[in-house]
Amino acid sequence: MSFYVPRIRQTTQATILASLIGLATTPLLAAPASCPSPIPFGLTTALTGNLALLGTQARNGVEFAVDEINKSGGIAGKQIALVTDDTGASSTDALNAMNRIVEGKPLVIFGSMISPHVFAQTEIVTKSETPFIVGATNAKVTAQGSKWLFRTHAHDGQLADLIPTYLAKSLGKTKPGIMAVADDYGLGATKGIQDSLSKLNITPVATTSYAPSDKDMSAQLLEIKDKGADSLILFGRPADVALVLKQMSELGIKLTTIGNASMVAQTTLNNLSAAEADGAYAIGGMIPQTSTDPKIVDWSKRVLEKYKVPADNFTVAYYDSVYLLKSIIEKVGCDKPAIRDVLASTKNSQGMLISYTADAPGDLVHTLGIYRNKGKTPELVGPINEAGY
Amino acid sequence: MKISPFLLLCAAATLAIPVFTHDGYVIQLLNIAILNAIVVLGLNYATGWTGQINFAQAAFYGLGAYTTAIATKAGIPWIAAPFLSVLIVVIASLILALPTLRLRTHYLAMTTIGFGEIVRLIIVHWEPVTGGTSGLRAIPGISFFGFGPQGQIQHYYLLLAALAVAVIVAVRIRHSTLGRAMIATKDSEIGAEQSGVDIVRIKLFAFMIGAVYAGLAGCLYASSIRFVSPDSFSGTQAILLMMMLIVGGMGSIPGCIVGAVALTLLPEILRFLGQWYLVLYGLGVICIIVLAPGGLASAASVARVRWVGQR
Repeated sequence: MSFYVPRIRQTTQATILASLIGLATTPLLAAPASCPSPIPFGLTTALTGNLALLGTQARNGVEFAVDEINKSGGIAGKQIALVTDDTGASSTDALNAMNRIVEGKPLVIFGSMISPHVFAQTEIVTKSETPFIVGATNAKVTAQGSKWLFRTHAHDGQLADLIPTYLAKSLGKTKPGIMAVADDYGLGATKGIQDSLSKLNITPVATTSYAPSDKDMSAQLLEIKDKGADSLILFGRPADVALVLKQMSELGIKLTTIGNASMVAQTTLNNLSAAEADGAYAIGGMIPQTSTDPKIVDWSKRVLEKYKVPADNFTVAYYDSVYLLKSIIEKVGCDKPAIRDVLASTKNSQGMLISYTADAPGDLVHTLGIYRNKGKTPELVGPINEAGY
Repeated sequence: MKISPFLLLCAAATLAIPVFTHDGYVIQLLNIAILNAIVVLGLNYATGWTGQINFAQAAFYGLGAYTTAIATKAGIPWIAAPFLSVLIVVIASLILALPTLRLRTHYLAMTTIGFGEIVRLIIVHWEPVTGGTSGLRAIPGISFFGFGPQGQIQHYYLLLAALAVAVIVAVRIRHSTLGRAMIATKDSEIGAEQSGVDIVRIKLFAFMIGAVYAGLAGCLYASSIRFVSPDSFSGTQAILLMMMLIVGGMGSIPGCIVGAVALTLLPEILRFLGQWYLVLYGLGVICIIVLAPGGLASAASVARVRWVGQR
């Protein structure tokens, strides 16, 4: 028995082996062929109730991108079918909505920016082994240990670090008062801000909060003023941030004010005069209003025309997420674990305003914007990166 | 007690639902409807039978849920959770009921709304224990010495059994001296007192047993949904529970169940209408209240009377 194998045969075997490997990987390369037609996407967000103003921005971003992609031929010729379900304002309803979406077996699911809803939904989405992309801002959202969950928006942990640092080091303010909405967003941020201030050896002169439905914040504002604050850190939703800024003006309280993106949101500015809005700072997800890029200006105009609501940082994040998924599906097809793996290894994927890079917990946003209102017009002071990026 | 063939048919149909659908969404929705039915049955004691307007039922529901969540996450065996939940809600109901026994109508309603808000604020601000507005996640599931329901269908049958027990207890109480004393208190407190009814004791009992129902439902909610957050037990939920009672039929046991199931399922059934579903939902509720003031439970008898009248 001879074990001699002529060199030529070795080469042939290597070629055959390579061909077999090639054949095995062909479905991955010709990936979109593996996709159903249409490709099912799911979205749950708050379209009714007191969180609808926020929730519709997620719907607008996802829907606008899906419509654009479908009009330009879909993903490798296949249309996207987006199913949207309303979560209302309660976590139980959010869970019901997610159960309904999961039963439709979508390829990917978008969750809203309302963190308690995402907390309620994570377990069921994780069990369904479906990539879950959210804009929820509570820092703990990506710390739940779900390898299927990714966030494409800045979170309040980043803001809690960056706002005190910018206030103290760049604006030179060392006696801030804190005011935040008493919900998941505001209270979570308050704790983080207090921790960051203490690292800077700064003690806030007053820490106050207001209920989401409150309309009169004058008591909290006067407390902050009376305790000698030189600045105000304000965390809230656009509607109540507008009220606070208005009441500050009415009470004649002039403090350097810095807060989350609500400070420069168009819905906030629409309810303020130029004098009331002027000078307020914000750090948050990138907003399209400050861009001079003709493409982004045109995009913002088209979004406004379609939805009658100006696009904000969330609209951008969800819009970018759809395009990020499109590029991934074009690469790896409709295999959920493969999509998840590529999402987890995303590096410098360019979106509309920033690039996205995934970290270990599943956060893809590490660049935020510093803004300042000039009258009623927000201006970009500059981008700011999370520590380590 | 004679059981009507219609009731038997309904029970058989309810038991057979998972045979016809394994849709997780449908079963989960029914599970929530069953839990709501237990809470509304509890509300019926104070409001439907004793005439005490109680908007604190959602708070008792939340207290039961949070007690179970905190206890089981701390490693206490699940079997102890229902008892702990009951203990906490009984204490809470006494705290609410004792100082408010002399209050009636809208004064009592406002006090119970205030109580609900206090409970919500405690949950929101006691963050190290309750998880604050983010709630508590990964709550251990129902477990009887290592055995527990797996999957939504097994939970469905367990919750159905809990509802059956709740109904049997309610029926027994309704036809007892206690039940008649409750109805008498609702009809006329002075009259009931003159007839020898200790209305203070009756009102306290109604609040407490209603709270026990809510606490147990909360315990089952936390262990089956495995997530609790304050927004599920807010003032909005309290109003929804009251609507379930009114739409189903105040004072009627089948009405409580029908009302809870109808108002849990209706928003989901109307989802195809998109954001307009709330309009139709509201219209539907108004129609029921106007056309059948006694609730859905009375609708059949109202229709029969009208039909006979036309003849």
